[in-house]
Amino acid sequence: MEDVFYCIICNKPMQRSSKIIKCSFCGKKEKADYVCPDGHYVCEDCRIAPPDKLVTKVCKATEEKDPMKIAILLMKHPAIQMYGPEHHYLVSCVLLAVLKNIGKFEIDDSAFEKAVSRGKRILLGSCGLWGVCGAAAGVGIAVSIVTGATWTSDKERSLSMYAVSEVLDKIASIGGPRCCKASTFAAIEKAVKFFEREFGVQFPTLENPRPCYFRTLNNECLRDKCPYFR
Amino acid sequence: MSTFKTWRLLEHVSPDFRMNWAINETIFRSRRTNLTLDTLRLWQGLKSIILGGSASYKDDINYEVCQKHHVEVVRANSVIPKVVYHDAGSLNVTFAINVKSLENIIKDHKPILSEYQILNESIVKGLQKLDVNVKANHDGIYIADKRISDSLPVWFYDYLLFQLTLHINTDLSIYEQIIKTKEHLTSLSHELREKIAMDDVKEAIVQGVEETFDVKLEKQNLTEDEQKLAEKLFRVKYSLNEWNINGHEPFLIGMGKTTVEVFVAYPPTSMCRKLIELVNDVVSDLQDEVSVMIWMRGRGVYQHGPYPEISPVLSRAHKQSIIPAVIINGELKFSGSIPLREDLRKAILNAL
Repeated sequence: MEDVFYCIICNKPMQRSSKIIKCSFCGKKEKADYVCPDGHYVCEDCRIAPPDKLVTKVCKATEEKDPMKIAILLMKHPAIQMYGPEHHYLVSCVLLAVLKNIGKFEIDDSAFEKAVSRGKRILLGSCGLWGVCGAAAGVGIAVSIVTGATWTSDKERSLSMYAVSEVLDKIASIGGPRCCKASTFAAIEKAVKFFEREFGVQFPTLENPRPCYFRTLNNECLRDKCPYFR
Repeated sequence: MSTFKTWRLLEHVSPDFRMNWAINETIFRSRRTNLTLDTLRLWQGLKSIILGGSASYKDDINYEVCQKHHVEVVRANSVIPKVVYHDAGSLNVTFAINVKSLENIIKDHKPILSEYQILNESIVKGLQKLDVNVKANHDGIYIADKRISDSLPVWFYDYLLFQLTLHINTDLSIYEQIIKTKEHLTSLSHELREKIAMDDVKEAIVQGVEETFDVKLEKQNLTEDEQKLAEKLFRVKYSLNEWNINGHEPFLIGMGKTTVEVFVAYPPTSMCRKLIELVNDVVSDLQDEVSVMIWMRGRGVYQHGPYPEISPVLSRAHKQSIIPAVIINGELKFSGSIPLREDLRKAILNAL
């Protein structure tokens, strides 16, 4: 077993601790075992959580109003793999969390379960196989949930689809092979603009994801081809 | 002083046709764990059908014909799902090598195909010494546009097990009744209208390989560890219908030690730490027979070196976040909690 553990958030070596510390993911306070010098701690429940539980837990608990910050934090967790369908519902949940915290929409906890349940139906590799990246569809899910859109709706249904098409346009322009991190960044950037324009939501901040934190961890990084590489 | 690199020449043959395939896997495992030199094995076996990789005994062969003609069926690992026939008139030429050693020899390298091509060329170089007009391609050895070889390759990162069957004096009439998808195969003796002495072929191939790869082939036997592993592979894999018919193989790493994979969180939670402690304690008197690998979620596939061996169940545990999990010889035995000491011990002892 490794002698030293490195913080999954900042990569600094962690130290033994027995203090009561707040989990950097879900906010739960518990007696810590390993803490990094910057005070990052991951509670035992979050350490073993599967991706869907982690995403909903964190998004329900967070008070953050910057969707990019939550997305980057979640993607640093080992439950979220470099590529995978968990990015599809991650995008929806992150947007719902922020919209809830900004107070523009009435969003209760069941919205996150709904988003995960819908997002899980999007196939792994749907970007190449269907022409619909799951991160883009994730934005559509968030729009549908906040507007209550269904297939029988009028304007709400259109808004969902416009949101997806705008995000898809941006993701498609990046090229491939797929990068779930770049698609998530692009989806959030476009979604923020969409919500500002269509719903008048004011997002206090939006972290710049450049240079991408994951570029050295990703064997198939698009490097200079990707707008988030530098 | 010789500047030649040495390869091992192995001519060990078991009277049991299935054991011979266990030996092939053994020499590959010992090569990829760097316990032996690059190896060339020349051997002949009884008439049998080899199901390569995922080839099906139902869809790819007429099993009844095999039974009628007493043709035994064995499955061999292969990246190509292919059916190969051999009898006493065939020569099996098996290479277990690190392909990095071929880097300086291969020009205009095309991954995988170049390796197959050069290995076939080395055999052709030998056969040409017998004044036989044969040609090498990446997919086989040809005489007058008819193929006289079949190969079942297996890859493990930079290591290649190239299992080629050369139809020297093979009687292919039975093969044609057995195989469902017809291929244009012939034997060397059929094309030349004369029997060919197998010893001459072997000698020529040895020369061809030595010249092609600038190596010296040195006759050696299986090591003691290899003999033990071949027996184990025979017992747990090659003698069983589970493998030969159904294609299900047990998960064994390296030289076949019983493997306990423990999948935990990063950093390990208190439950994960207790589990690791328990596993290490339970196997403390079994160090020679059991290998324990602690895998931490999110630390990547290379946390145990450059050539990771991971059971499919561990990959599943990772995808499904089954934490903690204890996987013994590729089977998920305990998950989500700490097992009782006696239960864990029993499960490990049963897997030895």
